This record gives sequence, C-alpha cells and structure tokens, in this order.
Amino acid sequence: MTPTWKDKLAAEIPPALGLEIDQYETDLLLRRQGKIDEKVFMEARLRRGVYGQRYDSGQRHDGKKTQTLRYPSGDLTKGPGILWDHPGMQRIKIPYGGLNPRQLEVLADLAEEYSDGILHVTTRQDIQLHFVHIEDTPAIFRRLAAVGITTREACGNSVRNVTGCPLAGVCRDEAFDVTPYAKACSRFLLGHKDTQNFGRKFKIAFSGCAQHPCGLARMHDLGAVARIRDGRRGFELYVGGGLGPVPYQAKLFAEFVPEEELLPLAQAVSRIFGRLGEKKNRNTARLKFLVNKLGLEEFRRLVLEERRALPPDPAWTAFLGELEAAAEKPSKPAAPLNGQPRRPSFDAWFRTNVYRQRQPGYAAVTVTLPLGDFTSRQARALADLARAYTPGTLRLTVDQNILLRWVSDADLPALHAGLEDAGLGQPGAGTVVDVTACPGTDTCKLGISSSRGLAGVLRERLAARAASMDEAVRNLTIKVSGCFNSCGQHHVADLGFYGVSRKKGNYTVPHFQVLVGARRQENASAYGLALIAIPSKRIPEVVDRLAEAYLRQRAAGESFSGWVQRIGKSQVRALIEDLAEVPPYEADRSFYSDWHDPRTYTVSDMGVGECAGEVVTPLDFGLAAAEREAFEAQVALDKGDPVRAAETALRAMLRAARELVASQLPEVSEDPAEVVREFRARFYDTKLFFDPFVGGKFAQHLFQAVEEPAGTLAPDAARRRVEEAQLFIEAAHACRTRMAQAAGKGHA
Amino acid sequence: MSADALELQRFAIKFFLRDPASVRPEEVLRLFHRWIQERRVEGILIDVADYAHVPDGPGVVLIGFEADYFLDSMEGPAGLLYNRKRPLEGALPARLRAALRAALDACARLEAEPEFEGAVRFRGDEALFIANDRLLAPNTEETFAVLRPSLEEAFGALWGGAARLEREGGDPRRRLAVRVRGDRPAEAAALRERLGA
Repeated sequence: MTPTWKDKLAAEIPPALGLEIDQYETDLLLRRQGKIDEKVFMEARLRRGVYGQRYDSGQRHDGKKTQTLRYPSGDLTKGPGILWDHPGMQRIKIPYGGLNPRQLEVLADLAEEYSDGILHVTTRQDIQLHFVHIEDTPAIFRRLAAVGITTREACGNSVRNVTGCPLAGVCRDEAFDVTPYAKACSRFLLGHKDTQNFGRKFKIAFSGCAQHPCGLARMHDLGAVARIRDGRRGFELYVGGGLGPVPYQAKLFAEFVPEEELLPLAQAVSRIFGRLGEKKNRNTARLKFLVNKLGLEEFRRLVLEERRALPPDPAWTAFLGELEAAAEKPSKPAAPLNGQPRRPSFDAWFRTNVYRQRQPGYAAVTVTLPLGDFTSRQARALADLARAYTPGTLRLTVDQNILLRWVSDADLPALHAGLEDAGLGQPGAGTVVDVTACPGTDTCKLGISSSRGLAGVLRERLAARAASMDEAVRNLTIKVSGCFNSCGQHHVADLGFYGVSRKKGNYTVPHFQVLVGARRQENASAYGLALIAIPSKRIPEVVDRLAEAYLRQRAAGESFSGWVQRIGKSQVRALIEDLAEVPPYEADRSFYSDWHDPRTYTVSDMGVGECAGEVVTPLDFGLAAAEREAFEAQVALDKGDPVRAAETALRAMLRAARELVASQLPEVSEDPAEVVREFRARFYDTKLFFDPFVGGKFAQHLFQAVEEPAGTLAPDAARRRVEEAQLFIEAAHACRTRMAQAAGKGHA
Repeated sequence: MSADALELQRFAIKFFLRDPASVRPEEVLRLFHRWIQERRVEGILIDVADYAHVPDGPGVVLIGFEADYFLDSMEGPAGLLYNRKRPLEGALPARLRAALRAALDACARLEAEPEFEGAVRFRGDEALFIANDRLLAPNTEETFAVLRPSLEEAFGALWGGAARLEREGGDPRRRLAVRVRGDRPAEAAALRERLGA
C-alpha cells in the first residue's frame, strides 16, 4: 500500500489538529463527489488559507484572445465560478513572524514539492505558496502541523495572523518584549468560540514601542503598544484601524490595559464585534465601521460591560508565568567585530542590514528578500545559518524580509559571507531599494496593475544608483499595491502606489495612483492620499522627479512627508502632472502593456490603427473634471478646511455620477436630487456601476454623502469622504470601460 | 521504503544550456506568453511566473496544470527544467519517457525559435533527474538503487542504452537528484526523435 503523510506523521501531529485536517479532507472528497455545496466548501477551505488565484474562472486573456482552460475535472468548482482544477494560493500563518529552522526547512520542502520552489513573505508576516493544487492541501497541512504550524484561520471571517514587531526582545526602544503576548493572543483566539461569528476578517498587531513603525499597530482592528506604568506591564490599546479602500486610523481605546487584562479584553472586543458587526454587507463589516457607527465612547462602554460579564478563564493569565522561560537567550557569547576578516561588500551591507541590539555585543540582521521572495534552497541555507549563529529563531517582517537575531558581532562577517553565498547578501534593507509589493496581477484575482512588475523595476533602477544617493532619498520608503485594497500597504509609505486603469480611445491602460503624505512613524500615524493617476510605465519617472525635488527643496532635517506638507499637494502634483499623458497606441504601444507582462491589455478586433481616429467623449472629459474636483478636496483638507473638503468631495462624486447619467440621458440637469435619482435608477439598480468584487459599495459612498451635510462631519469623517470620492471616480472609470466593452467599442 | 519509489509521479527533468547567457529572462518571458497563445507545448498552460529578480532562482516559469516549464538556475547551471506535477499512466519507465518527450519537445522548440537565431543550444550529453516526493522517494542510496533501472531504461533510449548515473549530494534534506550522462551527444530535436512517439 502506498504510504501517506497522514500515516507517516500520525504520532507528530496534535490530535485536535489532526482531526481538523481529517475533516477538511472529507470535505474535499464530498465536494469532489458533488455532495457538499460549493459555498459551504469554499468557506471550509478559506478558513484553512486555501485561496483562489487569478484566472480560476477558467478564462484567461493571452494578449490576443480569451482562452478557456479546459481542465480534466470540467465544471467542478471549489466555490462559485472557481474551477476545481485551477491551482491556487496557500497562505500559511506565522504568528508574529516567528519561525525556527526546522519549520523553515519544511516550508522549503513544500515549496519544492507542491509549488514552484518560491516562498513568498507577505506584509502581514505570512508565507504564501502559489500554484498549489487543491488535492495537495491536506498533505501540506499535515506536514506543517507536524512542526507546529497551522493554516487555520489564515483567511475567512476570522482572526488573521497576529503580527508583531520583529525586533521584539532586542529593540533598543521597546518598553518590553511583546513576543509572548502576541503568541498568547494568537493561541487564545485561534478557533475560540467567540471569534467564529465575525462578518469580516479581524487583524491584530503588537508593537513594543510607540514611536517606530515595525509593528504598525495603529492600522489594525486591534493594536497593542507596550507600555510600563508604575512598574507594571500593560498596553496602550487601539481599536478600529484598517487600510483597505478607505483607510481608518485606529482610535485609542485605553491608555493602559494591564497585561492580565489583555486577553479578556480581546475576547470582549471579539464578542461585541461578532454580535453587533455588520453581517450582510461585507463592505461595511470590518470593526472600523462598527466603531465609527457606535462612536468610540459607546463602543468602549459595550466592550467593558461585556468584559465584566465574562466568566473567568485560566488561559487569560496562564502564559504570564512563563514569560521569563520564554525569553530568547543567545547561543554564543558576545564578542567584538573588530579585526574579523570580511568581504569587500561587507561594509555597505553592514550599514543598512545590521541593527545594534539592546544587548551589547549582539546584532539583529535583516535578510533582504527581493519582493518578499526566496527559494527553497535559500530557505535551507537560512536555516543552517540560523542554527550556526543564532539561538535558532527567525522573524518574518512586515517589509517582506527576514530577521536573524542574537548574532554575536564577531560572527557578522561569517554570516554575511554565508548569506552572500546563498544569494541573500543584498544590502539596502529598509531603504528606498527595499520596495514592498503585494502579488498584484501576478496571481491575485483583484489585481488591476502589476505591482510586482513595477516594484521589480523600481528596485533594479534604484539599486543601480544606491551608492551615490543622498541619504535623505535612500531612506525613503516605497510600497505598491495592485489595486485599492492596500495589501501592499501603500497608505503607509513615503511614496505609495496602487493600481488603477484608464481608458485611452478603445484601449485600457494600466496606471497607478500616486500617494504621498504618509507618516510611518508612531506605528503608522498618518496615511498618504492619492494625488493623481499616472500610466504604469511612467511611475519610475515619478519616483525620480519627486525624489529630486525633495532633495532640492527640503529644509534641514525635513522628512519627505514634512516637505509634502510644507509645499502642499498641489505643488507636488504639479511636479508630475505632465506624466499623466498617455501617447496614442500607434505612437507607443509599451504604455498599453504592464511591467514584466508583454501581453497587450487590449486586443483590437475593430481593426488596427483606429486609434488614429480616436474620439474623446464628453464622458471622458467629465470624469477628468470630477477627478480634478476630488483633488481640490484634498487640497482643502491639507489647508485644514474639512468642511470645504467634504463639500468638494461630494461635488466631485455628483459630477462623475452626472456624467455617467448624461451618457444615457443627455438632458439631465445639475440638480443633485435628480442626478442621484437617475444614477440610482440607471446605474445602481441595474448593477451597471457594480464592481465585480465589492458590488455597489462605491455607489453607497455617494448615497451616504448626500444624506450627511458636510458641516456635520468630524475632521476624520471629512477625510474619509475625500477618499471615498476618489474611489467613486475610479469606479466611474471602470463603469465607463464596461459600458464601452458592452457596446463593442473597446476591450478590457 | 521498499519499492514505493516506483510509484513516483512527481519528478523533474532538466537539460542544461550550452551557454547560460544565450537567453535572457525577458526574452523567455515574452516567449512563454507566446507559447501560451500558440499552445506550443503539451498540456494545459495557465500562466507565466517571473522570478528573474531572485538570485539563483527558478527564473521564468511557464505554469501548467500537469507540469511546469522552468528556465531554471536553481538546480545547477541554467537550463530548461520540466517539473511534472500530475500523474502519468504506466510504469515508471514509461512515465519517465513521457516526461522526457515533453521536456525535449520544449528544448527543441526553444532552440528553433527564430528570434534566437540558433544561439540557444542545449547540451545533448547530460541531464538531471530530481525525485520531487520526499515521502515516496527520500534522498537515500536505497531509493537510488530502486530507481536506477527505470532511469537507465528511460534515459538509455536517448544515448543508445549507455546512460551513466550519478547521485548528486547526500544532504537528506534535499531531494534525490541524479546526474545522467550519455556518450552520444545530439541536438535536442535528435534526442527527442530517439524516444519515438
């Protein structure tokens, strides 16, 4: 009888975990036989981190035509419209990014045997494997379970991976090591009955200090920042943060939550979220919307009331007795670096990739991973190096790198040589070269533009100039997302980009929105705002121009966000506005395909050369005008006039809506009531305006805005309205594209 | 472990380029997209994955349902690596021959691509076999002994029955890899012909 991983690993897998995997495997079998509903199965697999991947509907545009992928299982699905045979993505939760060498080796094995040999580190300290066949997932889960890793609740409406500062325990500025707290929180909430009834995902982050951005605690549903008060450990607790299409800054729930209250309070928040959070409309189901709806005071009152009513649970504090035992200890004595032989490339690497730990004589070393990718061979080399030079612990970082901690200074040259031999010795960690990107159009179903393609190009170009760069530019951060959903965390970079598209004649052109003005410090204390959409192929010029202008104009010691604030977004936009121009298809076809993807976004079945007779419709002009107004709203916001910002944002949405209506009803007036009524009837009720993935969410922004006078809005609500206006206009562009396609006048 | 290795369905076969610099990743990226458009190699072709930014990585990958095609630099010098993921019919030697045919079809197609003007050539005297299943085929001498006859039979067809096998490296964490050498070197297309239909 052919052996199985189930038999081989039976003694190494915790029984409860083994049972869960068995149940999942049964679901797999039942779905295969058509005995389980596809939606039910979809939830089952999502809760184990088994994702769909781009083209899983079985249709793929090859650059010339749409091809149908004819799989052996035919129409069998693993979710509505998702073909069974199409390989997918496997997300693997790594709580607080903590890994040991054995776990890393198993991940390497899985990447080779079931994926394409690549491990991808995400911006939430997960590992992802791509192109995985669903039949292989039970074996993957068992092999992971045998080394203490579960993929449970890596996706779905659940508590996602609990993230934490990778420097926890060695940071020079932390209040204390948050590692055991992040670990306890992750374990306590995993599969907890009070976290099974969410309408949407729930993200938690831990940070050891208030001032640095390693943990990004203030952009999470629940963010805990370590604090010491009167000699006692506790946390500054934030709630209701989140990025996504409309980012929300988390609100301060409590200035100090004693350590023993952390888990019960997290449980109480979970219960309130499960009970009162939105369930029907996924687009308003995150905690941030509940906090906003109830108001912080009422939300706090409900949570504290819930906390008082909770029956005591020993798990709340059991871990506190093990804090000392859990602390990492060095495997080698501290010894000075001086006099150790080193390679010529050592110094440059040392400057950017080595962090002096709080503990004298020890360093934390960042292993720079291009676009968060590393190979199975590199993973094994890293495991060996971690064993040789550290206590055997590694941390994945939110910047998609890996951190080795507790390296004795004397070992740095040897470690550097080992990394370099494995192809992992690149300098530039945390600098402008170290570009973050989500998977984007490479593998994600929601990707609009090639975030990885752009990030790769920027990385290459900037690396070539890194040595001669001014330090101010070298220290800028760049983050790229393939769409508005912020997986690349574009809101918290000096230069953020997210993918959008624009029509040019009969073609669709990949673009990126340019965001500036973010502050990463204080755990992501301010988010960037979109300036203007620029064709993908011109984004490198955007980076060059803004970097040069910043260098030329900055005051002594002025940060990039400070410079943006001082000169104003209008000035910043003026620096790059001309780059928004797209040449006609015949003049330069390179604009009509994306980075690292030679396929043309559009295929002209209406005859070559018709771009020469290109017509710019009134709708195109109208949407451009609406965009301008949306930008004006941002300027008003920057000038500290939230009321005018909100009014202008609403005007921008109304204009975009009116232009769409006018394409069907040319005589429509400017009267807002008529515009909204006609827009609702012609574009919302008919679902013509609906986004394929978020439905009518963007239209709701308009409907809500006309009901809420600008004067009644708090400043943060006004800011959100500005964001929403931009998204509404993007949706109008997308709608316009779909209309053109339906009329046979353009191509997706 | 006994004859379990004979059940092997996941394995890779690689042919090495004569000149690793003869083809650049961006050229292969374009080419693989075109292969999808024109369905130039066997199987259901899904997408192209670009890992050219990863040092000594899998390069550019033509992702398929049954198998992936890598322009690979991870497993030794640059070459085309055919990675079989889905089961094939027949006994192991027959499965190996089927995979060899697919791999050599792709090599021959690459050599014949007009844009390379004959500059891309594979070494016709050597190949690499990787058993991509640590459960059925752990990296041991015993596994190698079990697989050897099937490998000799399949690869022998390329080189007139004279395939010399050498197990590569003994790290038990790594996959079992076997370097196969022949003494009748030929172009990829000629090697493919020797395998028959």
